Amino acid sequence: MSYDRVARLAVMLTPREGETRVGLGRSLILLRDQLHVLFGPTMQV
Amino acid sequence: MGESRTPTSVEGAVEITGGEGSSPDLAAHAEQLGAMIRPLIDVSQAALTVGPTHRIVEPRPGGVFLSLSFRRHPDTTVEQFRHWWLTQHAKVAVPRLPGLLAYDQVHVDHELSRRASEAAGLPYVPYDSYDNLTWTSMEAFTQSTSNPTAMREVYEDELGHIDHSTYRGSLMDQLN
Repeated sequence: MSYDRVARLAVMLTPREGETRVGLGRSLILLRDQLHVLFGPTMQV
Repeated sequence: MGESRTPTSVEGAVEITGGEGSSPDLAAHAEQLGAMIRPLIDVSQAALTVGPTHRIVEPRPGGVFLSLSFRRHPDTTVEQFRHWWLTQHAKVAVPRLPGLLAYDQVHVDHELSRRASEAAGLPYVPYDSYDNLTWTSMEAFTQSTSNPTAMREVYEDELGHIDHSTYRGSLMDQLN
C-alpha cells in the first residue's frame, strides 16, 4: 500500500531504566548524524 | 473513558517523514531504526505509528512541538474519526491556538504500524492518531493554551470522538 501524500513514521520514547530525559536527548543527539545518513533530512528527533 | 486529558508522558520522539507513496519504504526502515534506538529506551513503553500526513497549518520554523497519540472513541469507526479529525476538529482547534506555527495530522495505518512495530522490535499500540503542533518556545506554547474558554471548546469538540484515557504525548524540544 502507498499513499498519495507524504507519510510519517514516528516512535514515542521513554528512557531505559536508570536514564533521564536529558540523557536520552544526549544519546539521540549523538545518534542524529547516523540517523540522518540513514534516513535523510526528513529525520526529526 | 477517562475524564482527564493529561497524557501519559513520553520523553521523546523520533520521526521519519517520506515523500508521496513512501509508506512501504518507511516501514522497511523500521528494523534499522529499532536496532538503533532499542538500547536507549524502555522498549515496553515505546509506541510506533505510520500513516499518511495531513498538513493542517503550513509549517514555519519553531523551537518546541507537542506530539500526541490517542485512540478514537470506541463508539466511532475509523472512517468517522478521521473525517471528524480532519474536517471539523482542525477548524475548531487552529483558531483557538494563537501562535501555532505548524500542525500535522498523521492518520495511522493500523496494519502497516503493526508490521513496522514487529520489524522494529517494539510493542504495537493500536493508536488512531499521531500529530505534531509547533510553537516558537515553551512560553509561546503556554500562552497559546492558556485561554480556558478556548481550551474547553477544543475539549468539548473532542467528546465522543477521542478516548481521552489513551492520550500519550509530550511537549518536546526540536533537536534539528
